[in-house]
Amino acid sequence: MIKVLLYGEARLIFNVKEIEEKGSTVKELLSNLALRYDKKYKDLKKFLIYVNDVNITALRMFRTKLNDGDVIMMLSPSSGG
Amino acid sequence: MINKTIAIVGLGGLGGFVCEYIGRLGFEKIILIDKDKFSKSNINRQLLCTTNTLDTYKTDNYEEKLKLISDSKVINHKEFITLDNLYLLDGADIIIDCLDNISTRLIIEKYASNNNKVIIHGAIGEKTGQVCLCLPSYKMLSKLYKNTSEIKKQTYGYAVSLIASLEVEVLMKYINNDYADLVDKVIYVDLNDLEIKKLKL
Repeated sequence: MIKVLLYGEARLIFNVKEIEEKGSTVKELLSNLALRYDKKYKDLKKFLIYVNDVNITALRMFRTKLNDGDVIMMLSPSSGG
Repeated sequence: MINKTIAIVGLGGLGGFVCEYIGRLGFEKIILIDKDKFSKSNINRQLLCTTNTLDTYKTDNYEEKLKLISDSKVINHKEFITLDNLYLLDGADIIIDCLDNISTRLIIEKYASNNNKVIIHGAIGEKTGQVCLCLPSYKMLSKLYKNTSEIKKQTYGYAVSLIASLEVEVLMKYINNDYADLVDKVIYVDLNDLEIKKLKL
């Protein structure tokens, strides 16, 4: 299982701070989350996503492979002042 | 006295606390930019908003405060930054982003990149926020807000002051040339979990 930590808007959308979910890639994980929580996959792709504290932009984006025990962080930047 | 000119863009929650903190640090010149007046909805989180200052210009109030706590020369611009008045930032060595919207942030990022200026970015929503050092060529704000839509959330004064404190610390690290560990990184703050994380963007 993959541990998904939610911050900012992501936490408000899912209404939980932590989720355990399956997925062999980031894309599969997000698809599973979208299905389970009745969300749109394209909306989940908008978050900043880190795998074990590394931004997926520095990995293989949504094709990044996941392993049991990996920790995903999903967050959205704030914009207020 | 620190021999730098600092522009504070936006004098809402973040800008008010940043103004207080950098005023007490002592900078040569401080440029204040905001067109707003205080309104009732500001009282919960904006430092100088009281029942006595409602409907008065924020820049006037912070200029007056700066004169009480520092010897800084203060420039007061009652304007919102747009594409047409970016020259207001020309005299600044460093720009402190205390804005409340993404589109203006992207305007000042382009200006700063073209004019080789540094932005210290801070933003808040609810009890979460982030701070980062934006060096001219890094396009930090464009990367940060890629695909992000604007969401207005209630914020809290104590959370605002924490983000403002971090902005000032990043400013001082930049001035003291102690910022190698901040390049291309964002400091995320989540008070819901009392967590601060520094992550590569």
